[in-house]
Amino acid sequence: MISKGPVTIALDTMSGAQSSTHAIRAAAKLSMKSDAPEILLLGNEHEIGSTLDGIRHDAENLAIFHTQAADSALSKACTLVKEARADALVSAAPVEQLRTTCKAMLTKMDNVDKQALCAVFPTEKRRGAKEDPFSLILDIGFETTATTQNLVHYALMGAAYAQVISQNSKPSVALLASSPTLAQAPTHLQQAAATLHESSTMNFIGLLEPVDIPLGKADVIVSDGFVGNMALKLLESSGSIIKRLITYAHRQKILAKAGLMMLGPALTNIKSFMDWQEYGGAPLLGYEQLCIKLAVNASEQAHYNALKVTQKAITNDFLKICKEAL
Amino acid sequence: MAIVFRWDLDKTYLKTEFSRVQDLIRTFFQKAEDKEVFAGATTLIHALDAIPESKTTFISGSPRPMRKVLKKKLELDGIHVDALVLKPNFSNFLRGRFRALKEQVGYKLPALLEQRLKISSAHTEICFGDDAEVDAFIYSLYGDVVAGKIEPQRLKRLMQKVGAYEDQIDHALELYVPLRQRQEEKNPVERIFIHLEGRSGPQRYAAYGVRVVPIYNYFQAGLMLYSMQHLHMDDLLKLTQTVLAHPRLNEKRLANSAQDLVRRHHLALNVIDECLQGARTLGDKELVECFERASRRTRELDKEELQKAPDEVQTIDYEKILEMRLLGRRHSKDR
Repeated sequence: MISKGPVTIALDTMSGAQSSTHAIRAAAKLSMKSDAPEILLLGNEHEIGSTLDGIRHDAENLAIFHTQAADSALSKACTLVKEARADALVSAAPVEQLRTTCKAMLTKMDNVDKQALCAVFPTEKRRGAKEDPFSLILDIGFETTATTQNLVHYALMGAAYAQVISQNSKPSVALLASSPTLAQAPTHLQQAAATLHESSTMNFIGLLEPVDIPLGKADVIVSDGFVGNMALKLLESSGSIIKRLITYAHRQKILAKAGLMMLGPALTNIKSFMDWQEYGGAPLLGYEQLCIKLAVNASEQAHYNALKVTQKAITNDFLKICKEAL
Repeated sequence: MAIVFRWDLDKTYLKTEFSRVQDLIRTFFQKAEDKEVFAGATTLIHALDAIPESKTTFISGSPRPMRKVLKKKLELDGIHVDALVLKPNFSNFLRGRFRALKEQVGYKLPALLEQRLKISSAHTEICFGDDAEVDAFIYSLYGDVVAGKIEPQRLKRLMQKVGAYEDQIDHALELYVPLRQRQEEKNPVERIFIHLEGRSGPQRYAAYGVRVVPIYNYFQAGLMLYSMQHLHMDDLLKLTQTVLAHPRLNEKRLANSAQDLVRRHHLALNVIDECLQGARTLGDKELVECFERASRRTRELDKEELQKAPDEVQTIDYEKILEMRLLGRRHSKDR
């Protein structure tokens, strides 16, 4: 079912590590689209106003909600979605801040006692009607531990999100483990795998090693927050590691130097491909309200993409589909 | 009150595309019935035309051969026109004056001065233009020329700088003499509305001062005209109803438009409350919801910022504006 009426998104412009300009410029750019959502800009009015006044935007689709401090911008955004004055919130707040505020202010979905923060990671394989080159990983550190039941919920919610956003009718789901052998996995993982295997609606493909994430062997990868966070940080660092190794090799031989200079643009492309933060936002799942989280240093493009993804999730009634899946 | 409302046509009243040659050709051959108007513009003109002793004129950059179709369009919309001035582009083309095909100051400024001489000096004026051309520059300069703030030599230099032809400059200077002999209003051009059809940032018009009000839609113009006491509450509510009925607009968009005007210090907060009261008296549920939302939106703004007075421009530095415009053009060419 498609939701009726114009979509309203509350955008926290203050909580990221970057200046609020990235968020404001992204909102301004989206405001000029013919199918633009209404975007509520939460933050310092003076900053928002002076940025908007200098760039092209459609004021009909933008509203300013003045707040003095970053935490009040996020709190205000939570209040707006809780009171149904906005359909979703988008924030680049650090995980700690997001955890504290959301836990205090948002409503948990029925029976979901732990929430999961997702991230999208670029993969070799493309998926869904739009051929998205991403896998969805959850939880990446909103919670530390997860029970069997939590992991099953994560899998169901993650699959629902992949269905809606990537238009992937039956996304493949895997549990993250150190080995693909079920017998070697911890008990709660084995139990979660057994439950997911039994599900008729779920395309569960078993256990997946971290090395298989970039290959795109699963569309949705589920783990507890501690493991998920470590795996993601390791994957994120690959780009920087490659760069360091190249710099090291660069110093060694003149021939290597010349070769690397020629490869320079291609290597930059690889690095930007590996930088998942550029791809926009990912959801915080398990709340009655939709929250999309961006990397703390998200760029203008990342904000723009996050707003588009949020609009798509609302328009396609993601929360309803998610609740039905649970 | 003797008042003249001066309108541009394309991108101000009519939705027109002329960024490509195909668009220009299509516009030229488009029937009157097919021409689209911006939401609320017709209703606003009707309301303003009902003011006793008011006049409605159109001065447009559209070519003269389009007079018949444009006149028919205005007739279809039930608009009473006191003057319709169109650009002699056909003769410009035949005479090889290619610069004049695009340049607007050399054409519009003398046309406005000519129109001014046809009415008494007691008239005040409200002008409507858009962000596609140099309407803010032309209307502001026109207002300052009539008010006697621009000396003839400066006017000549400015017109030369924008690329006007010598005969256009001479014509403007000829009209300048009888104008100066009249006892003109101190501020004959009361307000200039710039319709941000291209969604330009309003800061672009800051150099013109508070007389120039960039607007995103005619609901915003209606609010301003009501606060300036040129529009009755009934007419403003009727205009709001018309705009709300447009498929592209809704109460959210109008509420945000109201907040935008208040934030930019063009509109006082109490005007929204007066509108809400008016909507309640009328008993229109949709209007009440719209103004309630607008009232809530405006209350989300920073109270300290609202109390700050806007930066007032004492005298407009036209030379600097032109320099910045030329720099902007060079910059975009370089890119």
